Amino acid sequence: MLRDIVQRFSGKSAELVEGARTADCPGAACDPDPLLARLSRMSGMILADAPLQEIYAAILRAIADDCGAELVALRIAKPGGDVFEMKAEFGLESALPNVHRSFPVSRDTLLGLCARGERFGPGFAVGMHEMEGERENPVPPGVAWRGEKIFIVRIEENGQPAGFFTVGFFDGVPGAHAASVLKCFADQVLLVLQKDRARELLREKERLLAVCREELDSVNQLKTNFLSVVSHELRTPLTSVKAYTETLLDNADSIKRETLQDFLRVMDEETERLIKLVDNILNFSRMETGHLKVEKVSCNLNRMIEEAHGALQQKFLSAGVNAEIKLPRHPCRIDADRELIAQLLQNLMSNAVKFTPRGGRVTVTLEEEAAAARIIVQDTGKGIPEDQLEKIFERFYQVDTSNTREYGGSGLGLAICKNIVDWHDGKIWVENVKDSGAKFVVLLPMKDIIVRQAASAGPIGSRRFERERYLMLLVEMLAEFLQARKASIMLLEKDQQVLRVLAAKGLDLEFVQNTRLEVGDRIAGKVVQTGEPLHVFDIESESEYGRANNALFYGTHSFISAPLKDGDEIVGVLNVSDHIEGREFSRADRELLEALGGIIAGMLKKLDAYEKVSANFERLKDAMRAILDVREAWGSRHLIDLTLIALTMGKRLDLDERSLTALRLGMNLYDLGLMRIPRNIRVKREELSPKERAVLREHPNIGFALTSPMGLEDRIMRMVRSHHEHFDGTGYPDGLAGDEIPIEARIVSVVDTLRALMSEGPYRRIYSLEEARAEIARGAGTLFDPRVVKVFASALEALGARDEKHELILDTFEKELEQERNERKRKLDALQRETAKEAVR
Amino acid sequence: MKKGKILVVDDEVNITQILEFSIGSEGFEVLTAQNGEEAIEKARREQPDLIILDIMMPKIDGYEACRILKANPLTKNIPVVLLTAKGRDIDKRLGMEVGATDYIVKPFSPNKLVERIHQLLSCHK
Repeated sequence: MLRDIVQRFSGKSAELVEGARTADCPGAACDPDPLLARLSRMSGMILADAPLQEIYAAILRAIADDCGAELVALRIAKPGGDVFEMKAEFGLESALPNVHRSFPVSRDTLLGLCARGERFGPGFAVGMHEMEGERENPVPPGVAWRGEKIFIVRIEENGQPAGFFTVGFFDGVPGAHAASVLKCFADQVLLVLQKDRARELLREKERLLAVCREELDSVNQLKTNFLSVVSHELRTPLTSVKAYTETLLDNADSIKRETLQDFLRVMDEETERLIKLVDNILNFSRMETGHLKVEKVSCNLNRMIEEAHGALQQKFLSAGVNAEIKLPRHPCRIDADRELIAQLLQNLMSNAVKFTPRGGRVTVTLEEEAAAARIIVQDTGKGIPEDQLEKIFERFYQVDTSNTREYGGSGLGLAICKNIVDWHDGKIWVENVKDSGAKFVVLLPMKDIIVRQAASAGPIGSRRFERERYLMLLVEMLAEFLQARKASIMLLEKDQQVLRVLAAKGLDLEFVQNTRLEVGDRIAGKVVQTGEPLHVFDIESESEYGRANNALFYGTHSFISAPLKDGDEIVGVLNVSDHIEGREFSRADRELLEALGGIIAGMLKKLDAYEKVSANFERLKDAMRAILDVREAWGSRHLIDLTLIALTMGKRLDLDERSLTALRLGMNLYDLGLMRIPRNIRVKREELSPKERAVLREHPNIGFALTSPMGLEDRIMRMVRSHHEHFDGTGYPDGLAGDEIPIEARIVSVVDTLRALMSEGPYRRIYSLEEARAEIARGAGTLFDPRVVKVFASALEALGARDEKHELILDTFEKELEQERNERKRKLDALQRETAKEAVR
Repeated sequence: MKKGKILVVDDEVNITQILEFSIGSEGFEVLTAQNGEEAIEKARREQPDLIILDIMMPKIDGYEACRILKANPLTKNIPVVLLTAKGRDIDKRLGMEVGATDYIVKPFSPNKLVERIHQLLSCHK
């Protein structure tokens, strides 16, 4: 019984009491009630803000002493209240040796134990057999119990457990005294917790305050800049107006008619300039202060670019600058504020005109990518000094340079552009084009990615947000790779054998939340059942999968569904539909989707494992961002063409299916390390310094490190690492030579050289396809594997590669698609004839 | 007989044009320049009696041009009136430091500018 335990531990208790006395009461006169002494000591510690750990330790010791407990543990809820973590324990080491001390207890376990326990005073007496019945036993199996009962006392805050004491061991239920002592200490712990939380809140507030102060400082700086700009920019046209008016007044009688007209024209122009400036300032201040109302409607960017061009026609004419507008065949639509986008386009285009000399050209290009619309405004002016590429979007930037005086303007135009793009969650940057001016690039996202919210409480708070961000990146990647307007990842829920959408792009929220497909049901269900991908080339002619059959593909005419495979196990389905170019998905697309199935299954598995360690999680997301960055920088379409060249080469080299799959994926990943190299080195026009070159040469290693948490196949990893090795061993990073360099990397090395030569690079002009081909041929045997160079030439030939204004065009791409169309049609016709015959019979 | 030769320097053509008109109609010979380099060149070659010099200009700004003019024995005695949209005290002081004789803030009255030219030229002679 309890008394025995007390006796067993009386020696120890006496020691402790003695210790406490000598520590607290150096004098002889001591408090007669030890409990009271302990409580007052505790209050003292709490008041004096002693470290939490010390307070907890003192509380546990006091409980052990006063209740005669062998073991006392304190667990406190982590933020969110789902898991209780061990904060302090007393006697655990001697009572239960070899027990991992800090195992957490879930909320469900705690509630279960209490429900089964016997209510006693403030707590619950739980029998040993109850403990053993728990799956998440607070004490691991194999531990010998000396007592019969363990006592659990919850520390409650607003009716919810904020923590609990585990006190052991008792042969029966603990006495009333022990119960009230525990209740008393539970309150003390709650007090400590609340105080700690308040302190943390205060600290958080202080941090916020510091951030606010910083922001205020920068706003102040902005105000100063603003005043100086306004004073200069407003005064200049005002000066003209004032001077001309006064002169006119003085000479009203004598002035000649032409002079009068000339003067009035100047006054009119300068007044116009003032009006524009005031408009700009007002607009800008609305954006800066967040008072702007952004009304997003569906915008046809093709039309808006044409309209902006129309509005600026006069400006182009009088500046003697030609305009070239390149739009995709199909209209590209995004959800955006029409007025703001119109202003963005006009600002960028008139800015380009301003900096282009007479006879030059401004080219506006619109490209649609799966996740974003890309607008490029390129001029043939003198470009922007490399060190200012990132600064020119700052407000009033041009003011302190001589630019204002040379080109006019408030220095607000680009800052307004940046603001507009920010309001649309897009990106804007500028780069120099070799030998010809600046290139402004705007990416406006078509943001319609939804991650399904699980009904039960999943991961909490910021972690859930992180998880969502990650899944969004995955879907974005899927859509980007396949150039699909709609894409979704569906997972098989193990217990119910039901497919549910995990995350999707371009689909209705309701559909994402509520869709449940059984195995064998509809398209996705069939794919899970058979384990084979389903590729519908044209839904009109393949009526078995008619529109009514699957809402997932509503409004589409071509789609692919491929299984998500974790090894041999099917864990879900990937779906893509609606190619952004409005074309059918090809065989090559299907093969890519199948290959992605493997990667994405692996990454989802990692997600669960990595979620517990945020550092890993962060690294995985970094890798995904880098993958998307490469596509952003090079353009998805360009990558598809390069991949096609690499695959054709691979086939001509008789590579096996696994190698081809590695190439297919690796071509999309190999240069992601490059995206972590500072932009000013990556796109520098002048020759690189030795130090800069060393930084640049790090990129295969960086890429390798970035991709390593993704758990990719070795062949792909080696493409990332070894695509800058030279055949003669003079390359980097490992100085491999000949066959030591994996064949996939040798192929990438050639294709990447083609890409690099035909685009911007340090200290050289852009090569034409012919020049690039000749340059690569010269490298056969030294830089490149001669065999690979040979198939490279024949692959270009076979693909009908040609060069249109330094842009690579592959003729076969369309041809192959056409061929596939015909093939499908033939098959279908045959099938119809067959069924017709059968019907006759 | 012209009263004197005035060099007007501003990158805004509208400004040089109106000053050419109003100063010219007072009987002065008016030369114009669009930037600092051109101003230094013309001042050396034409030896004007007074220079009206804008501060915010591309390449060589007004302060710099003034400093160069004052450093050259050929042009150092020509009075310089700075013309600027900046109206802060520090800008005035900076103007005086580089050797400017006077300072006029934009927007200005052409009549008052002409008056000032008369005054400065009579003092100077």
